Amino acid sequence: MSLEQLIKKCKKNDTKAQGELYKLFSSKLFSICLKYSRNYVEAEDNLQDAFLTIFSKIDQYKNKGAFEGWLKRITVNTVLQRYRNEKVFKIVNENNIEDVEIETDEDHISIDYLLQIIQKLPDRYRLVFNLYVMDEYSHKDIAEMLKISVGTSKSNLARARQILKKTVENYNQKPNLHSL
Amino acid sequence: MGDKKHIDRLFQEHFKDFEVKPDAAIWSNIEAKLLNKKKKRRLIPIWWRYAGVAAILLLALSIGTIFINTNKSTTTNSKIVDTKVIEIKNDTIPNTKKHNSISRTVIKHKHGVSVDTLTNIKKSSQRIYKTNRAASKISNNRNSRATIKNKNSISSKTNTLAVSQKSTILKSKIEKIDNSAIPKTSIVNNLNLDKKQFIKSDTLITVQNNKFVSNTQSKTLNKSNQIKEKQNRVNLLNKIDSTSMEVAITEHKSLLTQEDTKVSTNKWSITPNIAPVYFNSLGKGSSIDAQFNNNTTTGEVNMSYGINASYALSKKLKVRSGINRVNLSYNTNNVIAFSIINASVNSATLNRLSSTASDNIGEIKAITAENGISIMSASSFNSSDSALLSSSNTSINQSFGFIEIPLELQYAVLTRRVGVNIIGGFSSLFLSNYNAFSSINGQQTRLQETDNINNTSYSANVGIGIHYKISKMINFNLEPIFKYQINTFRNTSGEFQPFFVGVYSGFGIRF
Repeated sequence: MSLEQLIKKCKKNDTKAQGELYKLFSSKLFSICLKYSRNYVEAEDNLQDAFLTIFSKIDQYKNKGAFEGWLKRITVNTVLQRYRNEKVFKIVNENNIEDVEIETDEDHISIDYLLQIIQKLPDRYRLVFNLYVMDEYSHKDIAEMLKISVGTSKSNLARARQILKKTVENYNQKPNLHSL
Repeated sequence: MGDKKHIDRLFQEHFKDFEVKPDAAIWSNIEAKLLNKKKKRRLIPIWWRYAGVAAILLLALSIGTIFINTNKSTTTNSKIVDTKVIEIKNDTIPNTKKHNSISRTVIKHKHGVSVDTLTNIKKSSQRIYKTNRAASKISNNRNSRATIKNKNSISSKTNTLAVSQKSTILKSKIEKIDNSAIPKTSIVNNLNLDKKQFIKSDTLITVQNNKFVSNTQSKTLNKSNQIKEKQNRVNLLNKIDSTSMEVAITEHKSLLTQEDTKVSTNKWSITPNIAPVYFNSLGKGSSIDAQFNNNTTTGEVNMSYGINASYALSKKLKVRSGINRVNLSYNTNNVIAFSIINASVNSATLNRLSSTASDNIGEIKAITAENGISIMSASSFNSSDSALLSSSNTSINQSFGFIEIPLELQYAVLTRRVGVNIIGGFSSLFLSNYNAFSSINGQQTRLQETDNINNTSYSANVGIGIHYKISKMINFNLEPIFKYQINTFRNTSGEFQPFFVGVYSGFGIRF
C-alpha cells in the first residue's frame, strides 16, 4: 500500500491503516519525543498524544509538502504544547551569554549518553537546542513557537551549548564513569 | 583524541538516523483511545443510518408484498409436507430408545391452508438448513461420531433441495418461529414444541423434529441410517435433563409470543368501503319546525363510501381513521303544501290558519317554499281552509351530505378466520350540502334554506366488525355501525335525536 493510500484510509478512520501508519513512523517520531522530553516516560506520553493529534488532524493534511515533515511538526508542537501548559518556560534564567564556538572531539560518545544529557537540560534550553540544532528551525520560528523573543532564543541556545559542552568534556575526561 | 568538532555537529551527526522503537503498549493505548473516540463519534450517524435502512426496508417490503401477493395463485397447488411429530413424555425420556413414545402424526393440508409465497419457502428452507446444521453439530459433539455428522449434513442438503423443488410449505406458525432466538440454547434447535399440546398439559412436551429431515430421509437414506438418526435424536433428548427442559419450555414460551406477534406483522391496513346508511331520529321531534314534531317520519337509505386506514397497536387493538362521504336523507310526512290562489285571500287565510293553530301549538307560520308555495304540518292545518287553496298532502324531504372523518378503536374479540371486533369511536362530520324539498304535483319544490344545521358536527360510533380472512393480506369486512349524531342541528324542537346506521363493507388490504 502506498503512503497516499494509507493516508486516505487514515482519513476514513480505518483502524488498520492507522496501525500501519504508526508502524511506519513511530520510531522516528519517538526519537523526536525523546530529544524534546525530560525522560523516557514523558516521551512515551508525548508520542501517544502526538499520534492522537495526527489521527484527528490527518484530514487537514492536503498532500502539500512532505508527510513526514508534517508528522514531525505535529509531534514537536505536541511536546511544546505540553510545556506551554506546564508553564515551564518562566523558570529559565535569561542571562545573555555570548555565542561562543565550542569545540569538542568526540566520536566514541554513545547516543544514549547524548540523549541523556539533552534530557537533563533545563526545559527551554533543551527545546531551543533541539529546535535550532536538530530540527533546523530559525530563531524567529523558535521565538514564535515558544512565545519568547528572538534574543532569548539565541541566549538559550548558547546556554544549552555551554552546558552540553561542559558535560561532554567532563565525560571525555572520565569516560568510564559514564559508559552506558 | 579525534577531530575537533562544533558541538552542534556532534549532536547532529549522532542524531541523524536516530530512531527508537516505542513500547508496544503505546500503540495499544492509542488504539483504545481511537476506538473510544470513534464509537462516540459514530453513535449518532450509525443510528441515522440504521433508521434510514429500516425506513427503506419498510417501504420496499410494503411494496414488495403487494406484488408478491399477486403471484400467490401460482403457488396454491403446492403440497404441504408430511410432518412427523415425536411426542416425548417427560417421565419416559430416560427410556425412549424403543420409540414407544414416538408417534407419527401426519398433517396434510390439502389446499389453501397457510399458503405462502415462494420467498417464505426459501426462507424457511434456509432456516431448516441452519437448524439442521446446528443439529448435526450437536449430535457430533454429543456422540462424537463423524459419520453421523456427515449423514446429517447430507440429509439437510437434500432437504433444502427437496424444499425448493417441491415448493413444500411448513405450517405457517412453525415458519414464524424466529431463528435468531434459537442459538441461545442449542437444545432448542432440535425442538419445535407444539403449542396446543403444551397448553393442554405441561408434562406433555411435543417435540417436532425438523420436518423435512424425517420425510426426505426415507428417500435418501437407507433404513438403518434412519434408525441411527432416530436413536441419535433420542440419545440427544435423553441427555436433556429436566433443567434444560425447563429452559426449553421458557424458550418456547418466548418463541410462542414471538410467533404470535409475527403473525400480525401486517400492522397497517387499508379498507375502501361502501355502506348503505339509514338516517332517522330516535325521539319525536323535528329539525325543521316545532309544528312537525308529531309528524311521522321515514328515514331513507342512502350511500356512504370512503376509505379507512387502520394501524394495529397490539395484537387485538387497532386504531383506525379515514374519510367517508355520507349522504343522508329523511322525510317528514303528512305535511300540506298549498299555494295561495290570489293575493286577497292570502292574509286572511294566514290569519285564520294562525288562529286555529294557536289553540294547539301556538304561533305557527307556514314555511315558505319556491313559487309561492307554503308548507304546513297537516295536523295544524284546518281542513275547512283547504277550499280556499289548492293544497296537496305531501312530505318534506331533507337530504344532507357530510364528509365524515372517523377515529375509532377496534378491539378483536375473536381472531380466527372469521374475526369479530368491537368498534367504538367518534366521527367529525362536515356538512357539504343540504337540501330540503317537497314534491308537489310531481314537482320538486325547494324549501327555503333553514340555517339551523351546523357546519361541523360529531357522532358517537358503536359497531361490530366481522372480518373474514380471505388471504394473509386480504380481509372482507362487514361492519354494522350505529352513529349517534351530536350537535348536528341548532334549535331543534322536540326530542330530535338524529342517528344513522350503516353497514360498511369492503376489502381490507393489510401490509
